[in-house]
Amino acid sequence: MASRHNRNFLGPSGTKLGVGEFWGLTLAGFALFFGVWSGVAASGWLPSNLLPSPGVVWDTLVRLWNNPFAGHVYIDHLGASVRRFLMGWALAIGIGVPLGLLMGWYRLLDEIVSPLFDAIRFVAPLAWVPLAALWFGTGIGGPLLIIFVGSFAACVISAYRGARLVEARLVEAAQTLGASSRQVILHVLIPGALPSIIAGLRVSAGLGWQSLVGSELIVVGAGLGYLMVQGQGNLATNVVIAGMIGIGVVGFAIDVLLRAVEKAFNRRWGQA
Amino acid sequence: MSEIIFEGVTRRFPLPKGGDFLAIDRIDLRIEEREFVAIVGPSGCGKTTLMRMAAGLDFPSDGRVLVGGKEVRGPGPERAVVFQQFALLPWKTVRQNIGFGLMCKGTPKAEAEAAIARNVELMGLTGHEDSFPHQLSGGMQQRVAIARAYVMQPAALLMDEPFGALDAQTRIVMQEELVRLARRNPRTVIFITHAVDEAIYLADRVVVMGRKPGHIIETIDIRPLRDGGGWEAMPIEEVMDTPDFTHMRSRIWKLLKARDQEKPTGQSPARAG
Repeated sequence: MASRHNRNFLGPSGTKLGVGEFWGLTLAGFALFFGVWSGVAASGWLPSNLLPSPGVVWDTLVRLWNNPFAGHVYIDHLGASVRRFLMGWALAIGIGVPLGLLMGWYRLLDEIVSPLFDAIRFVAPLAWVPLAALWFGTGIGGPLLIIFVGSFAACVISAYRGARLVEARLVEAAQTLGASSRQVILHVLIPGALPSIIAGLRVSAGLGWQSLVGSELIVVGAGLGYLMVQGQGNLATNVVIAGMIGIGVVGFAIDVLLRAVEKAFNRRWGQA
Repeated sequence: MSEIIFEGVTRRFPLPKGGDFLAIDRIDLRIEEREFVAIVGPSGCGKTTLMRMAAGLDFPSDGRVLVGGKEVRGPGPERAVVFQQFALLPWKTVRQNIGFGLMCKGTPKAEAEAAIARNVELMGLTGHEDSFPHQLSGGMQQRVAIARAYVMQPAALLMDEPFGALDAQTRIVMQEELVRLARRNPRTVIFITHAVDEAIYLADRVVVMGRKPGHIIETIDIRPLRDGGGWEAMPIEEVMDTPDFTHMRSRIWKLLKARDQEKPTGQSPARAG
């Protein structure tokens, strides 16, 4: 529960750090990372076509930004990936959240669906790739399915937990005031489950985005994963790493954005 | 039409190891219209269960519960409930919580707003209409809970240890206010508590219950004492100081103590521990 207080950073002996110190340490961490990378690349321990230096990767990024590779410039590949992700994620939310809520509220449904759900959800998104390829070939359905599978479980589980968390007493109170079932769902069950659902959005987005490369193994045309696979085919490690950086940065941005949404929501919702 | 009748009411709960736990054993109780009845008893005597059955949140295994001559089939705003833990909707403001029942009923906006405003004033919540429950103290939250029940103009008001979660000072203030409210706006009331003081001060009649299984030990009419002693005109701390009050308190305590030390009777043999 420390998320509200992450301005109070703790130093080694529990003393509080200032903001400047926090950013200093963060930059130091990154500097260390790039330092080691450069060092290893320069040392020649791995051949330069397997581990290009940060400088080479940066040049590659710039080049890819301005010049098409595998059919598109970098930003178009990135855009294609983000679009597919958003569609798959939206589908997971649209199906997963209502399902999770219903399972949380109706014990019978829970008992019917849960075993099935638990059995299937451990099949990793990547394991769905062959099936997706058979079903959809290289169409949009393939990546959508993979990203959907990646995000789905988290949506269901967070909605389920949210539904279970709603105090029975609140439902009873609403009923004694004359609320119909529809009114109970609208005014008690859904608002009560909402914090958990919102938290689940961030988790499901992360998992869905992580499934991205797997989903783009069966894709042609554009996409960061597609870019990386093409780079691999050309033995261009620098392109592969450039793709990975894009994936990391966008994934991070999505997480930061959803964290802010969660925070704003909690503030407005005002629940303890 | 709001008298509450418990007719041969029994409540059994199935035990995990088989057999039944007899929570309440053949209780007969009649609460007249606009009568304020307090039910006192130790934990587990079934007093809350009785209230929940009147509210329609629970149902008897045997016997009937009737309100206004009709058997209770489920919860409804004509039998409004005030819970110990307030049970306010945290995502709604004070105003929206109080108006919740009216909204469910489809009351026209102007009428609802007027009713809400009246009850806000009645319960001393002016200025807090747009606050959220978590921004209010326990006492304030319970006022909102009472307001939201009262605004429905219920025939019966069912209160389950409503002041149990409040600190001692707030509790006394709320007791005084409830008496004022109840005299001004009388309703049939079932008030559950384990605090004997509270029961004697608030009620027309006190029903003393014992447990194992839940049953009525005795029903005591407080009105002769209250009217005879002029309690209405006295502040609560003086009322609780009068010899009549203290004697009544001792009498009820003795009833509770004696019954609790008796050998339990009427248990189902399969009851564990």
